[in-house]
Amino acid sequence: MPEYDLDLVKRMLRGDQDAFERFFEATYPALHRFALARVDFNPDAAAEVAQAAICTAIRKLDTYRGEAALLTWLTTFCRHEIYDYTRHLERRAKVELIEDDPEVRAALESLRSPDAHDLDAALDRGKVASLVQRALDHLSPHYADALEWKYIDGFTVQEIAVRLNVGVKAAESVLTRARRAFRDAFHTLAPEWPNLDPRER
Amino acid sequence: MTFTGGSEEPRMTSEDQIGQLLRLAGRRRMPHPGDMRQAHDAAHAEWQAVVRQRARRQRWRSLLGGALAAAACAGLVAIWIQRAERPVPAVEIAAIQRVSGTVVVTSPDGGSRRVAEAGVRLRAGDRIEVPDDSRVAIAMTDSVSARLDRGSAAVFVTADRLALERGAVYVQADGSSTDLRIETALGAVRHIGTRFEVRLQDAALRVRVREGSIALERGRDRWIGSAGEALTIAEGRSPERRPIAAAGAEWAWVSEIAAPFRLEGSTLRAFLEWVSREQGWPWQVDDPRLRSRLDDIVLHGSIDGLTPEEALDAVLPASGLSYRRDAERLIVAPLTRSGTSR
Repeated sequence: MPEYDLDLVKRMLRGDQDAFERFFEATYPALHRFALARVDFNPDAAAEVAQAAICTAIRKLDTYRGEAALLTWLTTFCRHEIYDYTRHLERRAKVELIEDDPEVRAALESLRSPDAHDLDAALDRGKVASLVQRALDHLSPHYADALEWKYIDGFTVQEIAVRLNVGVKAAESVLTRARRAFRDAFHTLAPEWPNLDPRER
Repeated sequence: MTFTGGSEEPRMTSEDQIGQLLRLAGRRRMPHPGDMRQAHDAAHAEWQAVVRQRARRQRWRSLLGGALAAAACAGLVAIWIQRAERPVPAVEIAAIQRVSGTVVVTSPDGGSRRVAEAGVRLRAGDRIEVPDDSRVAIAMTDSVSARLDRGSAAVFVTADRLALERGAVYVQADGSSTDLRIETALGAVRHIGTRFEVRLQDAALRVRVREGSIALERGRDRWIGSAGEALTIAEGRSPERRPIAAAGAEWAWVSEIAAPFRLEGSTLRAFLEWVSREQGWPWQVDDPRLRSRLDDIVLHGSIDGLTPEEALDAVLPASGLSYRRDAERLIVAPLTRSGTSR
């Protein structure tokens, strides 16, 4: 994934409009969701913070080396903007999320490779929704899309294959890998959640 | 909510559990389309600035590479050294487009001159003082211009830096323009393909964004202002934001000192776009026949000395057209026999 991200950034720096559009589509909504959970779910504040973060990151785009996933790199800028926002509101650190832990961030980085983890413990519905959505944000975009198409939109594997422009077998394989990556991401974010049965592995 | 069943229930599979979690969470929340669009425009402008800056840097590297290669030739090196020892004249970085009244231009060596006409070129380091009864419009590059209001003073430090000492500057820059940074004692403002006003007033810095976005910077802090917003910042405080209109009395001074529009040979569309840009009025033509001819109707004559609004009154009737204002919109139509718009 970082290789893909690095290639995308290099194309952007060369002035490739298509690369910019892909970059924006892949990162801004995720940054907005990232910010939203940290600014008391104030959508205006999240929009302001995410916009400031993405603009600052673009100015420093030539410093991206592909050592971390692009979204992870961008969230460091978002954290600075959130810090400024919360500092000005004099209520910094009111919202501390598990992703802010360096160990958790490192674990999320490793999710790009399909290692497995177990899940344990229970959380409330709102927090679960937020965790699920942020877990999806940490997956490759086509994994997250495939899972939403399958489980929220109810598409068949054949329909997903058409959307991904691959064969049915390849679509099944994408779904299997997507579930595994999701399970790992979700476990990293919510280690107290009950085990998701890892029998697929 | 749990997913592991009791001893009598069949154990749910991982796929079932993941499906339940995803359905519980619902589709990922997307930002409001307006926020997306605004962020997209700001990010796009920022990206274009980065790409342009890199292109400039690469050109300089190429030039430097060429210069170094040439330096390998001893004869050329000698010539280069001789030239380098000569005094280098200050670089011309801007030109006065229009003056209302008289302004005073002071060069870095202390020499000053009164300027009352367009065409005077400004060099790096020149300071412009605008008396309380005057205004001035200045072209920085082909795509960036600045206008100084009454009672303003500013130093044109370089082609991309303007230090505002007092008063107000209005900047108009298109999306492909080079960077321009307005520096003040209370913070700096950088355009991101936009039109905006920076005003120092009552120990505060106010930035009104008419189109596009700006970045207001103070030390390591940075705030983005978007079209329809005013940011006011005072020493040691965060900016206050308030919504503003793109047209109206507060922008009147800007159109009063607008750089002249060359009417002769311009199309009707170009003229309407100029008026729209200066006045902040979106324009529309409802008549389909007229709409299809906007690029074919060529205008003649001169509107020098007229404000954009005065120019509308002078140009449209002479072209068999009329206009009316509907809220902040300018609606152009063919003239009827009674002299009103259809």
